[in-house]
Amino acid sequence: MAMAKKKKTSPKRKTSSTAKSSAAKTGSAKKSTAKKSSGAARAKPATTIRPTTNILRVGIDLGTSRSAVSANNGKREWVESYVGWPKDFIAEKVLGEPILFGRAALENRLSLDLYRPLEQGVIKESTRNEEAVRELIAHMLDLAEVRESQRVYAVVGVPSESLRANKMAIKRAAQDFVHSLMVVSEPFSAAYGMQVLNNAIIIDMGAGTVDFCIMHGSMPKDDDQRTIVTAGDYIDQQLFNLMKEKYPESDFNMNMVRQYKERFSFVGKPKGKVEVEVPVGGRIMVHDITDEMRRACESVVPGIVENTMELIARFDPEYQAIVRENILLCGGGSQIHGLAKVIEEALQEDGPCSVTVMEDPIFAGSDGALALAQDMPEKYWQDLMVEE
Amino acid sequence: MLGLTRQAKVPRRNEILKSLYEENLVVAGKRKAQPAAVRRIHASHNNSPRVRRHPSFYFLLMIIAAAVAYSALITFWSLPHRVDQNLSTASAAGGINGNASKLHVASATPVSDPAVLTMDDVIDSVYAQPKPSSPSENATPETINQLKSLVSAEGPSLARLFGLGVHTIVIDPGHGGKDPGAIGHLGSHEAEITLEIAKRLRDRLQVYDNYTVLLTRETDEFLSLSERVAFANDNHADIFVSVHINYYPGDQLNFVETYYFGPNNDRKVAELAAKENADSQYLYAEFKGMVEKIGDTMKFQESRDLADAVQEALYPQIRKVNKKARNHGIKPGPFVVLLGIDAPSILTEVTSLSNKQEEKRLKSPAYRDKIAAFLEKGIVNYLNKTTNSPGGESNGNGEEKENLAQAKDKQYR
Repeated sequence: MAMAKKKKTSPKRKTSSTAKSSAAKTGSAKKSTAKKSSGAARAKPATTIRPTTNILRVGIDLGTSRSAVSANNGKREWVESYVGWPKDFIAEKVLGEPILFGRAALENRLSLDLYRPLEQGVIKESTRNEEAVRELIAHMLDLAEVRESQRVYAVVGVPSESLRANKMAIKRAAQDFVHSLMVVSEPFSAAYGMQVLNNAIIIDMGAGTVDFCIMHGSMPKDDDQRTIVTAGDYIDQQLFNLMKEKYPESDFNMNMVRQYKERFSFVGKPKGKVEVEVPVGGRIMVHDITDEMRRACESVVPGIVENTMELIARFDPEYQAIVRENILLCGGGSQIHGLAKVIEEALQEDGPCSVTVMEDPIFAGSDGALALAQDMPEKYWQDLMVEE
Repeated sequence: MLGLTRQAKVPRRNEILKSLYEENLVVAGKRKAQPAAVRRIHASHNNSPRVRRHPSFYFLLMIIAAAVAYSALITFWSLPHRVDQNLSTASAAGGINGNASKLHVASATPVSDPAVLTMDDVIDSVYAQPKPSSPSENATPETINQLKSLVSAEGPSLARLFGLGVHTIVIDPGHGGKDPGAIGHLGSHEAEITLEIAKRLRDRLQVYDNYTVLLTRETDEFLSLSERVAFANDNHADIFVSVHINYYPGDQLNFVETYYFGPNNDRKVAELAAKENADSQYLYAEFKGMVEKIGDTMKFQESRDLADAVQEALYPQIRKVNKKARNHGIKPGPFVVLLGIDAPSILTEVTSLSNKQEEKRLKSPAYRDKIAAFLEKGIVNYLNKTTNSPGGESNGNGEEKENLAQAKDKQYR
């Protein structure tokens, strides 16, 4: 661990033992890849930026589908949670990178051993997946532009299920790149960022899981949180099946289906026909998938409604009316057109209710994690210093 | 700006930060996890100071609670039979929701044992309502206590209490027709598999002679949820079992789970008690709601018991053949098909079609029959728990059924 201290002063040079030789050579290349072709999107700066000191506080939202980072130097970036290593030295030579992330990895997947390390909310059980998480965190810190001399205090938000199952794995993955570290559940960090800390329910719909968290003025415990796996990936699978049934001759894959979902997903009344171009025997054909899209997206609604109702019932009866007005929908799934309204209508059968979609779903988790990082007293960070 | 009720000042922000810090100390291995009983703060005590008690306190509390519950149970059974007899009469004459006034008049005798008042004490402490000075002709608070004991989701099943039996079992094969349900990687349709399992389950249950067993659909046809509900209600179903197969992304998971009608919210009962204590003039009207509530509670209890029996019979067997099977247990679910049916109802996800190995097995008629046998065992176990099965069967006869079910199991193996 003698090298660790030195490495921590420059997280972007830090990499796993297996990749460090090449990563060291391509540290800047990695960064440019991320900016130019990894699908990372530059967003507006966080509203509250503290003066940069020798400590960089970062909030990382490590999601199944997308990961985002917000830092108190004003950087806010996101990347799709894909990590890929070239399959062989020829692929590495062609790609010019020892490791690719996000969109770049996805687009070059045929040349890569591609990993989406968090599936259904947990780190998949393999050394390589743990390594992928580790590289992803390093990449997120690269995107946050940590300076050489800075110390890094990080709050990492992960799906609730991952927090329960993979606490140590996440700690291991992050500890080499930061000086002090805390891990929180994503819905909690989103709630903290929004300052919705009492008498509220947070529904965080991601790709792998839908996480529910009840906020009652104190730190949510395991019993206050739930996770179901009928989330974005489930919709993809449903849509794939329904399209395959309707258009058995057509050629499409899960990646294409995921893109259709991201563009056209809706529940309830459609805005218009959903038509996509799909190859059939080498010819491009237009398919109407309006009904299939609706059925696939609506397949997740019963589980969300059921769990929300159960969580409302867990509150003291006196507060349930307030809670019903404080249901917050966040995560990528919150962007499904009409989802909040459908959930709201279903819950309104039992009384007035309001479901609100978070304004900035991509950065809600990382902004909340950053808010936690900023509010956390220095003493706590000192106590949680990563051992060297 | 979002329409949320935000807290401009969060009084417990520092506590939240401290809790997060302490949790992370545990993750970092710098502090041992505290016992859950010490860490937990109940949602209803938002503004109360945190009280740390020794775990033995909670153990002692549990013993006291168990003793009180036992005492209440003994007292209830030893009471005059006015309430249960008349409720039984009412239910036999036309269902639980029948003649409220008959129940009201007949149950006016006061109860002397204070143990029965325990539940009321709790409710009174919440509402702090004054006791009525003179209930006079209306039913007494003690009667209400009796009813409250009855509608409690805990304790002995109301169906057993009232000696209600099962005559008609409706089995609902999920999906069908234009709705194939889940489609497996190998192309299997959930609707086709559930239909065959349901048919085999019907054949197995019909062997017992005592039950009319009906299927909501006999062929690959589409039925809306409301049609399924109407079918069950029109045929006076006594229990309703909807058979489904799970589907999860990826092929690794195989969740076995059973949903039952629920959740049950006793808030209405508590409100009724408060109103009754404040002004007895509303008693009669509220009584009707109370009696209706008994119906809901009975359905809830029985649905839960049925779900429990089916899941207990199903999961261990599925697990034997598929090590990846995971028990997701029983849970209340607001499925339309469960809510709309008058009878105790469950929706069971017997296995997962997304699991390739399981899909291969499901192609085999023998495996479908095994699943039917597991469901049969669960249903029979549930029926055996009811003291008054059709024809006034005793527990002894229930054992015979169990033996028969076991014998059939062997035969099908």
